[in-house]
Amino acid sequence: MTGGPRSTTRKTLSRLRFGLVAGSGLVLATALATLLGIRSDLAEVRERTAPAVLEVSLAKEALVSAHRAAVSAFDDGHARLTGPGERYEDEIARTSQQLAQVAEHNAAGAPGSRTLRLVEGLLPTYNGFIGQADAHFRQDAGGPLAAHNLLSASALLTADQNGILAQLDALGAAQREALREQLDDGWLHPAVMLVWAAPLLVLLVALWWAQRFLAARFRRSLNPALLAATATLLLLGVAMSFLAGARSGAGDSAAALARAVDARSAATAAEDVEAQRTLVQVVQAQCGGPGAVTCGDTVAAFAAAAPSTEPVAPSPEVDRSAPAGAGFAEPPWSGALGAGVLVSALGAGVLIVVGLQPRIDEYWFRRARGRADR
Amino acid sequence: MIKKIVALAAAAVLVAQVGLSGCAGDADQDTVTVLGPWTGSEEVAFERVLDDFRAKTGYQVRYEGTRAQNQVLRSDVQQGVPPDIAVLSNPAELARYARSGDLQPLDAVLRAEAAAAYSPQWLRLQRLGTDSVYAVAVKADLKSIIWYDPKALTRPEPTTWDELVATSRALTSAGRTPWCLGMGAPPNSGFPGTDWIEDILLHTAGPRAYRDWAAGELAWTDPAVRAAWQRWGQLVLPPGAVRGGPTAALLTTFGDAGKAMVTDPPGCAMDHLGSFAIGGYADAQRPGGPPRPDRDFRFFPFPGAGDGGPSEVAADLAGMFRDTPGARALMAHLASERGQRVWPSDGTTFSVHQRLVDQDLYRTDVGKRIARTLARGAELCFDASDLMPSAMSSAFYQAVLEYLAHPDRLDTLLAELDRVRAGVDPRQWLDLPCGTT
Repeated sequence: MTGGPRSTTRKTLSRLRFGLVAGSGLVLATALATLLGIRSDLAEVRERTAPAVLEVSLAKEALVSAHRAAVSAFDDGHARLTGPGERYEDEIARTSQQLAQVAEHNAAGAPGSRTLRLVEGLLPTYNGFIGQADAHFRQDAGGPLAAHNLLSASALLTADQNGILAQLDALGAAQREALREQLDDGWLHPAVMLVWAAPLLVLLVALWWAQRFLAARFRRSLNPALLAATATLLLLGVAMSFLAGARSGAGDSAAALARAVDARSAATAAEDVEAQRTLVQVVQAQCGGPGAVTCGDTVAAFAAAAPSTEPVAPSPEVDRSAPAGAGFAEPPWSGALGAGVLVSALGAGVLIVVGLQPRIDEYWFRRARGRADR
Repeated sequence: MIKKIVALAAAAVLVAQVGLSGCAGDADQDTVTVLGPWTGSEEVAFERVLDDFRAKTGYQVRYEGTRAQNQVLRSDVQQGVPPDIAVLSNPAELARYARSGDLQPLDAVLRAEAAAAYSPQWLRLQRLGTDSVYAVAVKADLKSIIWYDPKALTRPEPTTWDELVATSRALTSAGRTPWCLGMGAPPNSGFPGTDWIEDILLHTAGPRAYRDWAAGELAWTDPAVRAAWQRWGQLVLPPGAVRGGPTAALLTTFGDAGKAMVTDPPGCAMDHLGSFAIGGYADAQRPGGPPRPDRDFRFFPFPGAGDGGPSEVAADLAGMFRDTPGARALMAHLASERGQRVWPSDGTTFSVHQRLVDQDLYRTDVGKRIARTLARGAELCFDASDLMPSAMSSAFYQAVLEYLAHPDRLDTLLAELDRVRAGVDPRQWLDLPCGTT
């Protein structure tokens, strides 16, 4: 034995053993917490938030399709026999189904629920206007009352701030914001890696310090058990770093989802433009032609505001798999990673004890022999 | 050394955990949700009231404005998730919620000074036909007025129905369009027409008949009611009487119709619309700058409403659906002088708080006259279509639209309205005094 007082060495060895074992336990806890947290947040994104983002978009798409179907039915005269039409009924049913799904998956908290209820409250009123228009088309072969109800339905749907579509846009934005927050602020935040990496780094430094201490006090070049513990922990760190890839994959999938939703929104906006253009034709046919004199200032302004450019053709199929993008899926190796973390951290703890115990025993043996010699 | 390492690691984990979980307290506890009818400039004005409340109390308020507030509230209540506070224009609708127990009484919420600030007629309205206060009139409108462009209407202001008809005919003969008329106001389209019928009935048949009719005790087919419809038809249905004719009136919103009065040159000379119309006129775009009250538009009382005659009024009533500390605080604030003071600041909305009338809040002659009538008028009669049960008022709105399109169907329409009246549960009718009657 070399160096300072015997009592100091003994205490240092005991404390070193305790600290390194405790450090292994801390690495185990933080690594498992990080793994479970990321799995939980991915599940939340996959099963709630991402579907909600898409469902709001689909609800808006269905509603606009319903409106266009109804307006077209009144435009081409089918409404006299079939009312707003089967497609209108189907799309309204689809709107209700999508809204029910949004209610189930809503990730925007109480404000999102409130906006959703507002939409659900307005929808029957919209349907009522279409029903009234239908009644007047059948009863009076159209006329100003039918046009009035179609205009009212359109106004309720498309009013800038408080229309149903504006509310759906606000709801969709709230869901996307919730998704962004989950990816940026929760367990998927890039800085979360520090939760397990910092204790691991500290433990590795402590192991290096322990090697130097043992070399100095016991004149051994390297402690094989502590070296094995260090290697085990390094492997744990490498394995855990794969979680950064999972976070990155979730971000990529979120971007893909946003692109899919934006594409649908563009198609929906194009369909809305087409519905407005058709509505102008229907209304002006009922009031006798264009101009403020015959149809009034509101229709004149509506006709002037209706975009004249050719709408973009809607994309044929929505990517319904977008919420289940690969990046939102639970990594298939996450179970093995959890087991690996458990085994490696526990193994490191055992190796630390195995590596230090002989030195502690050796110290006690030398000390006991010294007493006997005296 | 080891202690330091362990302590550092523990601290890192603790900080990370706190940072990840956030300090997510239950913010909803401190947020008051409000559903109301105001959008646009009225919403801006109400947000000023709410800003003052937020600054005073620290509560957060989330306001959602929609013209379909009745439908949305019904849906909310059915789902068991009403807003903390809802603002409705229909006392009958609020009275229904009071009967069902969804609306909370406010006797313990409003201080005595708040109750003393309103005239007896407004207090009766706020009790919704019960012994308890259930609502606060957060803003009010005077409806028995006819707006006009002083440059377009050079004749003396009409004070009788015959003079009004003569003025209208004289304008038509002169090649001018006397009336601005727009029925569009989704989902309450038709209300400008019901206001016409109500005003004519009130000022030709008298407050007693008006009260009975609003309470469901006078038939729609009664000669007095039929005469009111016919008088309106005689005024607005003749060719040239309305800008664009009845068809244009059906397809034009009341806001767009009114703006035609203040354009240069004006598209029509007179507009029968409540005091809320000021905001719409002032928003009209024209080369010489926005129209100004007194200079560019004024009003005269509906024939029979001047000189202490009865006036039709309407109000937006706030009711408390969830009894929470925040909701209580906001209701008290809305009823208080401080809360009511914010409304008149933009010159387009009016309070019925009596103490505000003599303060220099209303800067125009138009505003002062309206505020004085609303707060202190003795002969105030509440808008009948707002007093009627929702099934009746909806049918009334529709009948007005139908009458404009097919005036020859009047008898059929009145008979159908009577069938609706007979089908309404008698308990849903609200019988409030009309003036002193």
